[in-house]
This record gives sequence, C-alpha cells and structure tokens, in this order.
Amino acid sequence: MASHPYVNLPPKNFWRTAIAETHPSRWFELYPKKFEISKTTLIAAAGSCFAQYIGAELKRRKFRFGDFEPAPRLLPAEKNHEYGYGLFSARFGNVYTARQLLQLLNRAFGEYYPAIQAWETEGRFYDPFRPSIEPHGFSSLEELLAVRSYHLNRVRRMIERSEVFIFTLGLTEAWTNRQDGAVFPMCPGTIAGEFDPKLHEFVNFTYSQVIEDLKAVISIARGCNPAIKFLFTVSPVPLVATATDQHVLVATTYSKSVLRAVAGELYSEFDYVDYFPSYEIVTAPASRGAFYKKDMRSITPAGVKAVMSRFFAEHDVDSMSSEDPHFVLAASARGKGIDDIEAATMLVCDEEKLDVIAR
Amino acid sequence: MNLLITGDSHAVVLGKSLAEITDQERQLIGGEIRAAKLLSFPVALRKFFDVDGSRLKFVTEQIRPDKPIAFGLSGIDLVDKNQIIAISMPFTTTVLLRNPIWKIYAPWQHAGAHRHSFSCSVMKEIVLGHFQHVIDLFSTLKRFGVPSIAIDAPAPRRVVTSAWSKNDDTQLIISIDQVSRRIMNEQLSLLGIPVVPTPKQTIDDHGFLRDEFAADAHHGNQFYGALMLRKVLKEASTIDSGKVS
Repeated sequence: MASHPYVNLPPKNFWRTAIAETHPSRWFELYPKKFEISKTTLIAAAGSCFAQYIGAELKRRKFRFGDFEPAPRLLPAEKNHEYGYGLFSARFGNVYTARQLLQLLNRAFGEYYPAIQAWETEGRFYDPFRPSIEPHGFSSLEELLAVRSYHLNRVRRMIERSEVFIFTLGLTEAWTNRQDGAVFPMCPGTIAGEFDPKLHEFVNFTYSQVIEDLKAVISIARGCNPAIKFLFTVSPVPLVATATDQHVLVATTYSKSVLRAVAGELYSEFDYVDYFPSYEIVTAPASRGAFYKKDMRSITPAGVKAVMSRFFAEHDVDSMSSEDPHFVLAASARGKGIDDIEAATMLVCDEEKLDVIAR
Repeated sequence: MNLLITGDSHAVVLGKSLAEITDQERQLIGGEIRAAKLLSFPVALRKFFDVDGSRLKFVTEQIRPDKPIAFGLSGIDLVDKNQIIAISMPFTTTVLLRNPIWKIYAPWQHAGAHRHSFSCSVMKEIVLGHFQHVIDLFSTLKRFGVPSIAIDAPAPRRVVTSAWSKNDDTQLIISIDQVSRRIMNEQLSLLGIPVVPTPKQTIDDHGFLRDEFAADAHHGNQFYGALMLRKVLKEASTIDSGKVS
C-alpha cells in the first residue's frame, strides 16, 4: 500500500467520514480548544449581534462573564437591553468591524480623539459610536461626553482585567468620517445623525486592513494585560444590506471570507488566540440551512444551541453530559422548541434598521 | 362630593389634622371627608390592586392575599362619581433614597470618579419603574372617570439616607429626590392629575424638610399635616365646584 500523508489521518480529516456520514450533532472534533476557559476565567465579549448569544449563554451557565458597565440595579430589567446594558461586557453596542474595535480601544486608552463628538437630532444628542444605547438620545452634549468618558473608562478596565476576550467578527463594510477615518457602527442617518456624502465615506475593509487592525487590538490589549487571551468567531449572520455595487450574497461571501481568513491567520500565528467555528457550524452544507429562519439570515434557536453546545462541550463538559446531543436537530426539524434561548436572548441589532429600507 | 384622602404613611398625619380644621374649611367639600392610610409605601413597589368589573380592589398577593390593606379600605367603587380620591404616594422618595445603590451609582452630574455613571433617561426609567404601580393606580382612576389628586410628600429629612451617605452626598440626595418629583410631576401632568405640592415654608435652603415640620426620620408632623391638608382641601374644592357647575 502506498504511503502518503493522508494514509494515517483520522476520520475528522475526511469530508465523507466527518461530515457526509456524521450527524451534525456528532461533529465532536470541530473545535478542540487551544486553551482552557473555565467558570473562574474572567471573560469579556464584544462584536456583532451574534456575540450577544455567546454572552447570554455564558451567563446562563454561570461562567464568569464580565459586565464592566452594569446597569443600575434599580433600572427595570426589561429596560436593560433597550439602554445597551447587559448585551456585551460594556455598553458599546454592536462592534461590527475590526477597525471599530481598534478605535474603541484607542479611544479608551486616550490614543485617539475622533473629530466628531455627537450627532444632534431635534435637540437630542446621540453618540455616533454607539447610537442606540440611549434610545432617546442625551439631553445635552455635556451629558453625552460625561457618560461616554465613564464608558471608555470601563472599556479600559475591561481590557486590563479580562482573562479572555471573545470577539465576534461581523462585517467588513463600514461608514467612516472622511475627516479622520472614524468608523461608525451604523451609517449616519439610519439610527441618528444625518448622512452627508461630503462628510461620510463608505469603506469595505480588505484582508490586510482587518488583520492589521486586529493585530493592533491584540498589541494594545496585551500591552496592558500581557496574560489576556483572545477567542475569535465569525458571525454566521449574513449582511442585511451591502453598500457596494455587488449582490448582497456576493458581498456577504467577501466579508465573511475575509473575516474567516483573518481569524485563521491569527489562530495560526499566536498561541494565545483561538478560533471558534460558529460560522462553519451554521453555514455548513450538511446543516442544510436548517439553522436559518425564514429570512435566511436570522439564526434559529436550534442554530444557536448547536453553536453553543459545541463551545461548551469543550469548556463545560459537566453540564454537557446531561444534554441530549440529538435535541438540537430534532427540535430544529419540528420547527419549534428550544424557545428558552430565543426568549432569553432578545438581540439588539443596529444593523437590522437597514432592513426596513429594502423595497 | 365625598373626599377620600389615602395612600402611604404620609396620609396618617393628614387624617390626624382633620381634627384641627374648622367647619368652614370642612365645608369647602360638599360631602364627607375621610382619611385612611392604605399601605406602607414598599407595598406599592408591587402590584397592589386589581380591577374587578367596576370595583378597584386592593390586593397584595405576596403580603396579605385578598385582604384589605389597612383601615378596612378594601377598594374603590369606580362607578361612584360622587367622590374625589386624594392620594399620597407618587412623591414618596424615601425608599428610593434609602437604597444603598447610590453609594456606587449616580446620575452623571453627581457620579464623580467613584460612582458608576448613568444618563438622565436611565434615571427617568428608574423613577418610572419605582412608581410604576402608583402611576397605574392614577391611570386606572382616570380611565374610569374618578377624579383624583396627587399629594406631594414631605421633603426628605437630612438623616434619611444615613445608611449609605456621607456628608458630601447632600447634593446627590437632593438631586435624586428633586429629579424623581419632577419626573412624577410630568407623568401626572400627562395624565391630567392635579398635584398638591409640599408647602415651600417646610423646606430648608438645601431642600430638606425643616426640623420644625418633622415628626421622625421621614414623616411630617401635625404642623406639616395641617398645612398640607388645607392645600388638599382647596384643590379638592376646585374639582368639586367644577363638577357641580
């Protein structure tokens, strides 16, 4: 028998044995953790909408999920998400792009002061970098700046204290301020502010830009917290809309490919960077689109469960042993069940504001 | 019309002050005047009433199931249009002020470097959440066409927040109190509910209840009660004469 590198590879290395002939609930070797995340590890999370699922599930399972900007306990619980509390590890709202994350950290560490301070709409003031955290805006610029200053202080604390930072990469497309390249999470005019083509510029970040930005993020974070580790994921949620001249499917594939490739590169280069394949679990052909809702964009509770169960199979083995691995797909096939995830995690997704524009 | 003065413990001194008013003052109101404490304010942090047909029933499921809360007042007849309900509750900030959360949180103007900071809108949500069931009570009375009056509470005593506050927290305490009252005033105004404000002469320059009007750590005394009761009667008489005409 001929000898070559494929001869002794395990079943997980072959599509037929690993995927075609294996039920998705048994894709056990999809994510071998690079480092331990235990219930005592202080975890922080940021990213696109999908990141909210990760945070919610970590909290539900009593992991040590850091909330560095917690809601005042007297704020009615049903108002927390409306005001951007409890969604991520600080009140930064959705962080869709690597550049946005980098600028957030640079602002937090006093290395970057964007030219634009606020958007004023009908006498209310909105933070361009987290426009939805105050649904009615701030009453004055002074108030906005004071609350933002506190927020950036908490972001700094988050980076200094966390042991693992989980970042879900969402988009490569963004709108920026032409003056200084400040990245907005949302196009001006969609949630707040006013779009002006003379002031605002569309960018679609390239592979080299995204990897450079994330390396800078890692450098800043490890500069003040040398022990911090990173776990990157790519959101399986397609773009709600593209501002390129391409079809939204083609634009989505570009975005996700770039982000996936960047995450892969960082995973290979740094032993303190891990990659978790939430994108693959949801989008794999063998999943047959079953993890998407009717809009073929939103993730079903079964999809979330499938993703999270793979994550916790590595990090929370005790609780996983009591779960039926077939539950995920059985519930998915019925089109119901697992409602607890959906009910417990009402996502706040700025990006979806664009959906109402579609004709 | 009959006048019922009720609400939280601040209603007690108003009831006691009924003995001090003259017949002429009583006659401002065409009908009977009653005053009864309905509940202690913390009870109002939960749902404390239900509407059963044309009757508003006071219930506190977790504390005293289906029992009258105090003084035998079990409910309000919502079809009785010959009544005015004056309620002391919507401005009772004591429980809010005593919450130790203010040791670590504050509205942005008062947060400084040692407290978590939050916006005015978040403060408003906190206040509306705190008084949610009280606002519901006024909304319900309004919906059924029962005229009601909101009675302001005495200003806070300087000692009220001693469990968590330091001397330099005076401004924070007063700010929380005054912002809460402003928000409730706005809310009641939206509902079209008249408010009887605390007499200015009972408040010192810092915004605290003057010692000479205080009975204890947060209640007004008989002097406060007499002043306030007369204001309530005056407001009620306005409603009463409006109905008559």
